[in-house]
Amino acid sequence: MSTIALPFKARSNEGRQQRFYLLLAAPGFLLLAVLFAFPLFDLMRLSVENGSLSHYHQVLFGEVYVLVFANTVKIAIVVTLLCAVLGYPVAHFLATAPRWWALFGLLCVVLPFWTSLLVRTYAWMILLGNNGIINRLLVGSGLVERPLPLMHNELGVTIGMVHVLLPYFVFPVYAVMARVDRTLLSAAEGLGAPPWQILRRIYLPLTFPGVVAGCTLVFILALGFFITPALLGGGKVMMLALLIEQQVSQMLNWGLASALCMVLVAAILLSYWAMKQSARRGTA
Amino acid sequence: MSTETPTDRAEILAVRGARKSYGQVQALESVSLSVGAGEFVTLLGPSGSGKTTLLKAIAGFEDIDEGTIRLGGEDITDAPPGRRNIGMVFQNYALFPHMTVAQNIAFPLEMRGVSRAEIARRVEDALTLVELGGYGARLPRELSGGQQQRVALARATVFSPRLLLLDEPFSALDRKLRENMQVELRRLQQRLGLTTVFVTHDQEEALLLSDRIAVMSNGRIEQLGSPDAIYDNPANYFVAGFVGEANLVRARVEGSGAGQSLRLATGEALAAELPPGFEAGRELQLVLRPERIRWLDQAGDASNSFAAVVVEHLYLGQDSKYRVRLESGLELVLRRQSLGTDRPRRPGQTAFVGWQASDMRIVP
Repeated sequence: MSTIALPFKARSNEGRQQRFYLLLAAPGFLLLAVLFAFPLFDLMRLSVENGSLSHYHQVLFGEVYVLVFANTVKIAIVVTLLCAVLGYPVAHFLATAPRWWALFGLLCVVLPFWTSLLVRTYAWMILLGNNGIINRLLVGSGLVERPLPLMHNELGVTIGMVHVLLPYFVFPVYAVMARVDRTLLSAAEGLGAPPWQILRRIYLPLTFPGVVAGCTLVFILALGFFITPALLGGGKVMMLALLIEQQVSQMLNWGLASALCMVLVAAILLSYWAMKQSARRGTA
Repeated sequence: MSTETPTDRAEILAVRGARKSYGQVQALESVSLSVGAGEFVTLLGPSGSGKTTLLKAIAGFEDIDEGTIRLGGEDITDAPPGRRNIGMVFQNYALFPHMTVAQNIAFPLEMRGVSRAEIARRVEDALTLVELGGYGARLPRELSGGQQQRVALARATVFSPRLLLLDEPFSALDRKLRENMQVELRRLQQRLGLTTVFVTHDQEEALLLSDRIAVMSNGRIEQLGSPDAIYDNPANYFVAGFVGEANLVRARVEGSGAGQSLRLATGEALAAELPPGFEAGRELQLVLRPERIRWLDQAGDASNSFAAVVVEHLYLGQDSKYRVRLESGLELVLRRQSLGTDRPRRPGQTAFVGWQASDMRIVP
């Protein structure tokens, strides 16, 4: 009941279940081991260079790093909440609309999903820039005197990230909603429940596993987001991934960068575990 | 013969001229139905007969194109389902899977703003009534099909609705359990005096449970009446064939006045009691229930008697079913009690079969 459709969970389950599947999964495992696990261990080694924990001390107590980390978590939370609020009705529409409307809606969600992240981010720059379409319309129509600061700040980063990450929320929620027995909603209605009570008492609890799965995906991806904050933030919005890149390419401080990476990985694992717990409690 | 309004009860539900179509398909063709207080009325029919559409229209899940629905004197034609104060048991029970049994039953009371203490008391009473005391903390999926059924029944009745609707509630249960639940439902319904509309395609179930049955086909009520009226005096060919087993034979009226008789399509002449107004040459259908046909010791022991060959014998436990072929080739089905005084008949044996003129029914 409380299965969350996260790809890595499914893969490890299959691997355990049968030898045949294990064999089939072996190349994938090998690839992950070589290209993912090994570099990760190497990063871990780098972060404790010479057996010293000084990098971690710096990361965990240095004011700048704590600030960046807090900022990253804050943006990730805001983006996750916005995705949930915007995505839940979209998923509901996809799950319940008449066939062709649902197909059209699905296309609207999937098409951007298939488009290059870079292209989409540049598209937002064209829309949000000081000389961008929105500001030209606003200034041209006399609604505002000067262009609004829509980009190179947290607002721009948030808008861009919500747009990029929305499908990651919509898909798992849609999958759960499509399986909800509609007669349950009719039953609740017939028993005297007004629409908002049906949502609060029946629909939300039944779709909660999907919401948790969607939030987990969005939050984890948002924590480590790079391109969109880099371009739409214009160097003025610092997030963890940007800081890591800066340490590696500008400061050449691999040790500190590795320690930051480890903190990011730990944060991701922690949030994944926390959301799994809440999903279990929510459907018990 | 078919009573549209219950005479001895106050009218609770009144459907007048209900029409509903889906595109080209007529789901309901001007259906009228009246249900009295405490009455158990069954909508019986094959799938596509409109019985479920009518039930959903009463519950408010389906809008009707024309006509009115009144409940307790109030026009509810356009009222949303939640405002109708109707309890409904769905075919798949529709219990909320994330709520316990007690929470499920409490739901309609909470929606009505009943106090916490009152809810606890009434949920407890409802659980006791359906013999599920102590099961309140379970989840629906931890219960058997029959127990889930009772929870659904408790949830649909706990708020004292003006009307109880049941949509084929027993179709998912196995035979033994189904029979138990049928008896329990009938007891509960009578004890609480619940006005009930029940939908089924199972004619045995309909005969067993109902005060009155509305036999439906093609969006129309073909006949409305008590179970015995429906069974003994079917209004037409469809009802005769759908409710119970019947030998349905085409026949033509011969002669006039007191000397009228019937000639079957296969050639046999029959003594019959015809109502007045049937002219010679009129074509009609004969309904002859299998249990009305008897074995005869010799020809002439009944007003209609024929020599026949036993074609098939089906042993059903307390009954036996036989298929016999008359000399003309006409095949009839007989149903006799296994414990009766009949000696056993085997396929291939010859025998005399017969029935009285009063055993036959005539339908258009």
